Amino acid sequence: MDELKHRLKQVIINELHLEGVTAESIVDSAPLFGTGLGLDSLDALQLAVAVEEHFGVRIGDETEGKKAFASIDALAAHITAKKGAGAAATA
Amino acid sequence: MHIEGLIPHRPPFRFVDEVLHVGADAGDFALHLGDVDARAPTGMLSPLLLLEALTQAAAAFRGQQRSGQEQSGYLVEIVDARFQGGLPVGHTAILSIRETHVLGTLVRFTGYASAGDVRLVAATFTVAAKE
Repeated sequence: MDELKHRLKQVIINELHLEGVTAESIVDSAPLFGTGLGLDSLDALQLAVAVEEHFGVRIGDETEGKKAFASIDALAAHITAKKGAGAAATA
Repeated sequence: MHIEGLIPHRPPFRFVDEVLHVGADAGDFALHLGDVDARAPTGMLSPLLLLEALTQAAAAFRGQQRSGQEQSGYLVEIVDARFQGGLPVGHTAILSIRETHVLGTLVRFTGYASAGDVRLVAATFTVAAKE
């Protein structure tokens, strides 16, 4: 899970062009939007695209996005759960 | 479906003339330039206006998807755009767009404008749909 969270932080930094932000400076439980990293709705859409491209998990709608994008912890848990559900469905 | 029932743009700032095909997540539209056309007074429609044509095609796509209701929105982001050339008068451009992601009112499209085998403009952009 820690490796996934680190990858997520790198993807966020690279895909959203966050200057002066390092993976180490992003707190796992901190909000990504608003007061956290200060991301906006366009960043959320780009993050949804990036999560699908890098992790093969599609964010279906805004409600799912709000829950998944609450923090790095939430996003990692969402990806893990979706991947687990996909693996169970194909088993 | 007449194009003016799908988008609010009107001549000479309407750059989509015909709906060719609309599927579940993609559509093809046509822009026909006459031999003398007010949209291309220099004899060539600029690549930048072909990008505008792609965004209008995106609006027409969403209009067609919503039972032919006129759709308006705003271009809020151009993620990537590549320009090869403009469209000469007397020619037709095919505008092919695909809806790739939706999050709330934001819709991401990718598409290209082509004339024959030549891809004139390719772009990925985001539209904020007006609710």
